[in-house]
Amino acid sequence: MKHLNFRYLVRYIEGDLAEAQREKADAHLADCADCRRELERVRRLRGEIGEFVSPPAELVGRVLAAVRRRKTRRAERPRYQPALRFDSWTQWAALGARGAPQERQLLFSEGAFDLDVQITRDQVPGAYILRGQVLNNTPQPAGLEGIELRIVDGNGVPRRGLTDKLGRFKFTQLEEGVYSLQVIFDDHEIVLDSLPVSDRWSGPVETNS
Amino acid sequence: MSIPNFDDVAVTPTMAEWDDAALMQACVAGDEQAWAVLLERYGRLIYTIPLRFGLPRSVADEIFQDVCLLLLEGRDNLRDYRRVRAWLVTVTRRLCIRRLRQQDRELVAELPEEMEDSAESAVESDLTAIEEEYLVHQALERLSTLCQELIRALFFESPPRSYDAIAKALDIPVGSVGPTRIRCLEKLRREMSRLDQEGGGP
Repeated sequence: MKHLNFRYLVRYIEGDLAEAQREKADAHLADCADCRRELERVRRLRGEIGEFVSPPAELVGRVLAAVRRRKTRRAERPRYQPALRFDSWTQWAALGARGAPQERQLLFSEGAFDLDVQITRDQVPGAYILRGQVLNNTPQPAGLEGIELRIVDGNGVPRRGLTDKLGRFKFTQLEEGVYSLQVIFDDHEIVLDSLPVSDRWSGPVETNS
Repeated sequence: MSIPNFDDVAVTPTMAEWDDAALMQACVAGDEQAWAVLLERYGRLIYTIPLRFGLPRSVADEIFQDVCLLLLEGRDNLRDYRRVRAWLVTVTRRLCIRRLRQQDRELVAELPEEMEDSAESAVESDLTAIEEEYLVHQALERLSTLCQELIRALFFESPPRSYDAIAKALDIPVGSVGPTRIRCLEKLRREMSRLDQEGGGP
């Protein structure tokens, strides 16, 4: 028997074949892996197709901004450690308060940029959110959108993210631990080698300040 | 004040019709327009996978950025550009599983190992068809409006509409619904084969 054609398979699925035709088709399908695959495909064609959701236009904009930035990005970029300018927890302790608020706010600066970082508990138990903003002290021709960030956990597993038009970024569901955060600009990188993500005090953040 | 000419910024039809291999070559060369076409073609696929895994939109946002940056970096051994769709599905799925493991760590720690494996494979098996499903979705968009509406009404609506209701909605004789439906399904099948061989392109 020849392979079952498309129309025949549709009729087979819809129960539209005479008994003898159906028996012949069954016998062929039992022996022919190609036709079984095609039958499965036709079944799927007729099946319910789930919805596909478009990503927000703003996210697509960030990726396209990153593509633009890459064009002018230097292959060899110097890496700088920023200076810590503010830590809400050390301020809190200096005021003589006991314990610490759940949110920790840190402000770093390096050259023309400031880096604002907030660490809070996530809704997921035992996890944290790290959100922040890249701030520029002088206007940047390429703006602040599409700056690449990389956060690497203690096992060396990286996650990547991009800033929005205002330079904001966010990483959710981070496990408690010490991370490295890398902010990649066109001509240099800012690297925080030991960023503690926790709600427990483990000493001041180590930077070059 | 002059009215901006939006034709200048629109994606050229020629590039939108490129196959995946040609498009990826332009993307690797840093062509922003090629990236816009690629994200138009596969953005929904990347973004939908985390949602199918039951992850929240905020996590889908992060995974979308991560996958795009991996592609931009040219990492993870994508050597054959014609396989970009399969590559995107594999990489996105891997990032989703990593997230699920983190999210469910406390729960998973209490489960016997075999139950952990079966829970994960149940989610994975739901996703095995997603690439094929997306292909149907893309192929459907290449068909005429009549074919698209007919196939959606017959097969994707629940419960499916009657031939009478479809004939009335599409303004065609009720006797032509059956033959038209077969012709449209055949076209859909052809478009799927073409997409399968060439990669994307509307």
